[in-house]
Amino acid sequence: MKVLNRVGLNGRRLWIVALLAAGILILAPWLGARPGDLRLWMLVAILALSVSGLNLAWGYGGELAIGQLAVYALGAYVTGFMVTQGYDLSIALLVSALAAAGLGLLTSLPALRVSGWGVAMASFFLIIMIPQIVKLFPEQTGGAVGLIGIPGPVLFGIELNDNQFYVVVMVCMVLWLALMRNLVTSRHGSALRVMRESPVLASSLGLNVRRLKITAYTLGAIPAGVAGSLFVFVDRFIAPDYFTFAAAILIIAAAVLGGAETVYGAVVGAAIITVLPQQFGAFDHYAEIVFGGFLVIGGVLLTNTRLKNSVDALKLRIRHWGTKPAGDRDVVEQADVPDLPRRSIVVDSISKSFGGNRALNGVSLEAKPGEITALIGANGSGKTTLLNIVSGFYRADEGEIRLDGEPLPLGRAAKTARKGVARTFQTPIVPSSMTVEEAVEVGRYVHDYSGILPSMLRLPAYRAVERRGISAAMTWLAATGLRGQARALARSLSLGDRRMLEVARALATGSSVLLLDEVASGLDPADLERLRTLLFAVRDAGGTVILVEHNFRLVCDIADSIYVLERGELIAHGDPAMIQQDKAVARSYLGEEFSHADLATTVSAFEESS
Amino acid sequence: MTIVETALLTGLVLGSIYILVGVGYNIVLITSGAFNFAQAAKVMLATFLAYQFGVVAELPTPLVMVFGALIGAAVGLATELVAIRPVAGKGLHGELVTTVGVSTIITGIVVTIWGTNVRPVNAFVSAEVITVLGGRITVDALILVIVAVVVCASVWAWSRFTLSGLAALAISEDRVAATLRGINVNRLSILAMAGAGAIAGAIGPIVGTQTLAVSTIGAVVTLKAFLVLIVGGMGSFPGLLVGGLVIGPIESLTVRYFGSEFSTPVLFAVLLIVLLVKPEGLFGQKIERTV
Repeated sequence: MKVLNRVGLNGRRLWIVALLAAGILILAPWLGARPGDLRLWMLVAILALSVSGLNLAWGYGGELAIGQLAVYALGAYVTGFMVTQGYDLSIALLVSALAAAGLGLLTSLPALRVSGWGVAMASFFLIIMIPQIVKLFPEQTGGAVGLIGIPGPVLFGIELNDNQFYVVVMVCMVLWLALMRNLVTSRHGSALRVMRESPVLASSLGLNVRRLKITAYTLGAIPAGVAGSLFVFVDRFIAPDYFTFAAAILIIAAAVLGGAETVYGAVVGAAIITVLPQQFGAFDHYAEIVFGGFLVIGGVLLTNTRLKNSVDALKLRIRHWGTKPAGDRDVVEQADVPDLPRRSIVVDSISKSFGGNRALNGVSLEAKPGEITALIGANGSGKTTLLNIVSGFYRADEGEIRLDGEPLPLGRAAKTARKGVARTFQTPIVPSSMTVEEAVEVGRYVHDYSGILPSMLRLPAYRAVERRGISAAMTWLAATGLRGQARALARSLSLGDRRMLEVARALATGSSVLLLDEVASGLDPADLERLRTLLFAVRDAGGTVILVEHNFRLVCDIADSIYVLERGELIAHGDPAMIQQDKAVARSYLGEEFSHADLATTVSAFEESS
Repeated sequence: MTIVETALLTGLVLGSIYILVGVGYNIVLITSGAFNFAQAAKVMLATFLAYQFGVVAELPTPLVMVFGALIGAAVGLATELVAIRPVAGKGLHGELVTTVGVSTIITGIVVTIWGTNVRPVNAFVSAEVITVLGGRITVDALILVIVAVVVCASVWAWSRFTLSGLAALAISEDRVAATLRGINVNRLSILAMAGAGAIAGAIGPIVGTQTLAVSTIGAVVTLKAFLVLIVGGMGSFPGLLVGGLVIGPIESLTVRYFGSEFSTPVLFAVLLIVLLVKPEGLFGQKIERTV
């Protein structure tokens, strides 16, 4: 292992190994592979392309694009028709890929309005449509009988022999896998994973969830279309019988077997699914039962948290093998926050009801830059509701919220986030299978965007964005004291660190308005101290901090201005000293009999006695 | 004009099959939050059981239904324990993957035992053709429609008026809160899956009079019943009834006037329109997003 390190191979350069393997695979016809093997490997490559598309949409994006087989069929029929009309393979491939992308786009339409399995089922519908659609175009598709008389592949005017066509198939697969690898290891991969784990988090970071879903379906469809296009020449015959429900199952089974959240797993899964039936004579008889079993077992393993965690840890170890960590563990960290643009938030008589329950009743407040504004009140007083309205997750019934005098788009979280309002959550939302660094860097997805094509091709524009992203992530990780854990799995952090991670991620979005939802709950004294230092640093850098909090001591300790809510109404406003003396606040917190008492002393007395 | 009426009646029969499958979807959706893809495959299995017990073993129909219900319940139970409980609510549409797997296994077993040929099923009451509302329909088909309405209404009544039904509704609203209220969520999920399986198993002899025993209908029926569920609104029994009685005739009229090739594309168009225009369905509820 050490020797390999010395020649420059490490976890980040493992693609070199994959590329070498690909080279050998491509040259196999001249390295003594038999024609029968070549045919089998072509089938593996073709299945792997479809599976890889599903991995992108489902494994990374969480969108189960079951209709992948219909896309594959479309690619096959488009190419089949075009080459019988005398078109070159290059053009047929291109048109098939475009048609596939179009169909992928169509299947993503329901995702704009609904989420969850409904979308997957809708894409399933396409598969049972294949035989009927084929019948509707008998002249182009050959109808139920099948399309016969398909000529051999002609690429750029040259008639390909079997070996040459094999090379074309392998090159297509290798090229796609390279593009796929570049995409999922870029920030787009992180964005897809964030969407998969939590659309709420995605919107709070300004990600356009609908657009991401459309991207996942459309991009994932392209390799399936290419696969269909290539499949045409394997038997030079296509018929609806190739595109049945059972074939659709194979694609999912292969994805599950190879690991859905992987790049190269698609090839492994496809190889198992293709080779297995060849090895056992009686297999055909029980194929459905076995593949169904794969789905049940695979589905269970796929969602097994413990297995997922160990797989994630293993993947991380491979990725980090032989590379040096960017952050130094022993460095004493300072909350060093770069200057933030100064912006103010004005909440103007906001009212909000849920059903008949009036959660907020004409609440107005102001949060100034360079100040920490706290929002306190008993459970159910409307604090979090207000936070959700400011951050765009709920609409308001009345009133408006202005950022530097400009009204915020209420009810549109992603748009609000893009205007520079960031938030954290009561229960930290930390996506699985991401490192701490990635989890923070994804906050910059919108702020410092790099397109899909530049990411896939690793253009200079992408590299510049990536460099800036890493340095910004390191800045925020240092500010939150997480720099030493930059390469750890984000899920593995302690609660206190996860809260800090959320703050770092919120700041990484480039926002200077920071909404913190009970950020101190469950923190131990050391973490509280760290949080206090960080919030002071953000405040001093010109940030606008709005703190929703139960911890009365902490609030009195750090807030510049406190608003107290009770049953949706504002009952007090002032600096900590005024609030501690306020009779209404004491009554709200402690009840009638204690209302004469000084709140701070009573709270201390309670805490000491308990 | 008997042609239109007959097509409409055929549509009602189709819709009734979708409703009977959809009832199984809804029961499981309410209690486990999972979509049980294998429900239609269970009904398909039940039609083969109707052939095996009714035609081959010549058992009386009520007994065939009891056997069907028992086997259906056992399959439902196994599905819950093996394929739904371990994955429910853990993301990545695990339930869909595993229940598609169960559906494939059931189909595979049916093909292994009975082959791919179409098998007959005994008449339920009578295969005689009668005239109803100006259209031609068999007695058995009419019974199927009535059974679908009665089953759907009964399960709806169960969910509204019995303690276990209300508990199920509570689970569908908030699983954790229901558990805290002392509802045995796991037991209810098992009962629901067994119940849904039993219903699927028992209706085999009735559905079989219309579909016969065919191993390949599972996927198509699954998706059309899903469409009915979406049109009516997920989890809603009145919606299911209305959805089935609307979608069935749309399908049969399309087949009658445009040709069978158009039926699935038209239904897909309906699905897209519903999902884009009224994604919560006719009777579904809109839920405001919570953070």
